[in-house]
Amino acid sequence: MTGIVSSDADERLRASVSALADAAPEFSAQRVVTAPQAVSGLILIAAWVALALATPLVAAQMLVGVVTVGYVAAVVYRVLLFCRGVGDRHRTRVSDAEAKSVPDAELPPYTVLVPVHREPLIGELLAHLEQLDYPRDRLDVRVLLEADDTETIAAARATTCPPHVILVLVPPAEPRTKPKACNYGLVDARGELVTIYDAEDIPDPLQLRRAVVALRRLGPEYACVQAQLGYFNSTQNVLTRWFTVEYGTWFAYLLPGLIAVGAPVPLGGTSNHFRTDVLRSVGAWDAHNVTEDADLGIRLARLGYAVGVLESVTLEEANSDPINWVKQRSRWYKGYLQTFLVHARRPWATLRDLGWRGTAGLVLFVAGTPCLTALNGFFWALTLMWFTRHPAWLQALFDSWLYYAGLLCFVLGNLAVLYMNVYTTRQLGRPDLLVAALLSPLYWALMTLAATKAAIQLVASPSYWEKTTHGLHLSPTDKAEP
Amino acid sequence: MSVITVERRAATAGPSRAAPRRRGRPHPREGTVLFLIALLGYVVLGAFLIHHDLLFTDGLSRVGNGYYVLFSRDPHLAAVGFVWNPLPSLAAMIPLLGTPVWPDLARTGWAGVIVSAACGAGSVALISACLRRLGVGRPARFALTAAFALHPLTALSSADGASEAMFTFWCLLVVYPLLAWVRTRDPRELLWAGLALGLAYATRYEAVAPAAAVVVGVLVWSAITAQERRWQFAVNDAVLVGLPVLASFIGWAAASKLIVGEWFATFTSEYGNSAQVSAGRVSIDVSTGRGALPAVGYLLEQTLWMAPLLGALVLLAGILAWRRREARVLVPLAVFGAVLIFADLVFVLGTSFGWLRFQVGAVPLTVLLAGQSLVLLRPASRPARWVAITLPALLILVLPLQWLGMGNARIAREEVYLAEQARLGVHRTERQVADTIDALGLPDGSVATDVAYSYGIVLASRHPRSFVITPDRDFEAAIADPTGHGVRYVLLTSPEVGAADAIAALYPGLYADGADRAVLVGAWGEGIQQWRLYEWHNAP
Repeated sequence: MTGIVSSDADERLRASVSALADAAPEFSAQRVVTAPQAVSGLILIAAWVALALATPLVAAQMLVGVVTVGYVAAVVYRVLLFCRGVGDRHRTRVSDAEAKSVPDAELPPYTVLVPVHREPLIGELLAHLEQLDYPRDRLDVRVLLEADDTETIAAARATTCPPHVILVLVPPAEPRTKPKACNYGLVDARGELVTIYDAEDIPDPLQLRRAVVALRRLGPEYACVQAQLGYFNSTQNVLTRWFTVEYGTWFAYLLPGLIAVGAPVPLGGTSNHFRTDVLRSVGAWDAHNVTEDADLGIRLARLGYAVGVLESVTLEEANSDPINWVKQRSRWYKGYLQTFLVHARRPWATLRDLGWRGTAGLVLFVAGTPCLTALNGFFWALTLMWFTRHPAWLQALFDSWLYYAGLLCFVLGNLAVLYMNVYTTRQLGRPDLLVAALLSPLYWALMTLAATKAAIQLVASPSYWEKTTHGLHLSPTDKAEP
Repeated sequence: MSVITVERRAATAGPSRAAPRRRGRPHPREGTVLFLIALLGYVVLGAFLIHHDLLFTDGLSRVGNGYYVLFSRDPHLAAVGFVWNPLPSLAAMIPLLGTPVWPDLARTGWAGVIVSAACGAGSVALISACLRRLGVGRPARFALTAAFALHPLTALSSADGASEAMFTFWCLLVVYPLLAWVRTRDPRELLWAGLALGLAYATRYEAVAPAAAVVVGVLVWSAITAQERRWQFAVNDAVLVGLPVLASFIGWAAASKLIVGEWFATFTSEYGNSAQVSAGRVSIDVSTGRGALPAVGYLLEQTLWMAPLLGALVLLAGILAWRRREARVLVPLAVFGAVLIFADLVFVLGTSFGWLRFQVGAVPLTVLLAGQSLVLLRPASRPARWVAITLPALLILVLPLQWLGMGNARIAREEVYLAEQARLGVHRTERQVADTIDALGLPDGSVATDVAYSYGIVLASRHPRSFVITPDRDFEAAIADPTGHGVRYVLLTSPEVGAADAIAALYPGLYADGADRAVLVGAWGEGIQQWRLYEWHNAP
């Protein structure tokens, strides 16, 4: 163990909490909703309420119409992304031989940030990181610990850390978020490149080398490559199976699809490999955003950088517990909505930065993902109600053209997503997940729950970070061992 | 001073929007040229058929189904009807949108011709693409493509607005990706084949046969060729190729059940295929002979006329493929073979008319098997070269005979009947009826009629809203109490033709003499199809 860094803590802490908010408040979720946004929102609501008081049916039909059109647009966009992403031209592939052929002397210093919080499994984590094929003298692994997380610190101190691993104690301060810890670790990072792994990740051993080659090949306008995520416990239960299929579609088709259509790519939480100088120059992570990764992807695009998808898999732990899953998912959805609100503050600036294609991606994918999920459940409920009870108000609500368009898109949209999942299992070489893919409508019910929770929480406590419990793949006896 | 700042990327030599440019795909020039030539040819042929009133009634009635959705007195999507699978009618709705500008789109059925010509031209481009994928060289490919495009069954179905052209198009769109899949096993190909099967079912219900054949074929071939976890991969592949057609099947049945209360209206409705066949049983038996054995003989006769080389080519391609271990030959056999076997089987079992156009699948099958045989023969010596020249030449040389066959009253019963009808001026009469009714200047909903028979008249009318038609949601109520609903007239056709006419069924004897309820105000036509317009007593 080299030592625990905790010097000049105040200045570092200030930078990691509010550097972005100080330098460019318009990019930070420190305030989720700005005054003009709040005013225009209230005006819209007031106008609708006024309309509803005057002609309730028209107001309701209008709302349903807008919702249906939004739903259809988001579904169509998803299918479009999938079709464009199916060709594998938009993923960067670096062969094993090419990755290994770079001489050690030509590899840049690499910082690996590992934020941990209440993770007593730190020994297991360090063992996985030791698998990375990268010269140790160029590796700068920083385990980021909350200074008051005594349990993890004790476990870390009990583990023998190799010299390239340092433990960084992050002083306790609000907000208690992963991006704050990452910023804290980034301030004095030594690497030319920097990446993040979660505590339980098992990265492809050649991933760092591949990222070096990929970023050199792609050129300076690429700030980052995102590696693909998969799950090591994908067959633990049906939830982890669904999760695996979903991630397969996400990383193999939807993200490459976004690149193909020229839309910004919301990054995933781990295994994204940045140029350190660029990351610092764009304000790094927003400590106040609960999906700082997705937000950073959008910000990179707005500031003129591109993101690539790297063909290399990091295995994570899929959430196997429904309650825990809903917590994690609702945080993601909340963060997506937060991110959308941040970038929708100055619509013209966003449109200028991203172009219409990029802005369409921001609206239809970043805001669209949680909204689509919530609406899908809503439409399922309406459809079930229609078939079982046939209420007259429902018929009145849906004007005939709207009814047909909505029903058709609802049916075709759900089928299309189901079909994409079946394709994904085959293309991933995971036909054992076929049954889960066919049962995915049940997964959507959980997603709706999470999306609804996210919407409520966005209003109630926008920056609250729902901690995801890890280590659920271990049996209780494993955990009980010292 | 913080090390974290917020700055825009400094401009560099590279493109500012780093998203990769959409790379231009190789221009499919051959396909485009073939498509355009064929489109032109089929549209011209369509114009000829329209001019001589030779359009298939089937095609026209499907145009009608799309027309009611848009322009009837009660425009609603369910007016597309549930007896015939909906895609041809839905597709016809696109050109029909231009009816206000160009009434002939509906009046003479141009909308249907445009759709079928586009599908036929697409099939020509696709068959050439399939032949190229098989490795057939350019001269033979052009000759075989011509043999397909100029065959009377292809050309007529592409020009006459019937649904066969669209069905063939989807079937070829199943064949094309599968030809690649058999070798690469790339699941992307199954995606396209699966979607095409789903659309094929939305076009004609016969698609269940190729769908079953393809799903089973994919399952078996996948299991044979998989390296590991055979059955898991095989089932995944089969689901991938079969899911869209299953969804199409269930979706159509459920929509049908919800809206008209029948799962499979084409078999159970009084207007459906089954009812039509039983009504036409006697006339079918008279022409084709009674029982299974004469039926088989009849089908053989049709096949010999339309695809004389088919049997020989199945043998030749089969033997060659077996010896050269070429599994791709199974693809057209599974798809078009299933279509033909299904069509033949239902005829032998007595639930089909056995129209000649049901043999249309034999044309692409012949051409694809010929192409496959040429490729498999190629490396061999002189006899191979001889076959390479004679086989395509033979297929083209028999074309005139096949066109002659279209006038053979025994095998081409429907076509000959159609020519007869045209000579009698059936469509001309329909337009005349429409014009007379239009001239009365009636308000909306004045004339009740069953469009299972009178579609031609409603399509020809310039005021389609003056008719109360079967798809209208108030049709039942309106014919039960016509005067109470402002219905002044009823338009009927002769009982020999309109066996299941909903109004005639409600008022027996109405056609003959008005059944003391109505007075005859107009009568048109001669021969078997006549029209009578009655005005109700105490009409509004």
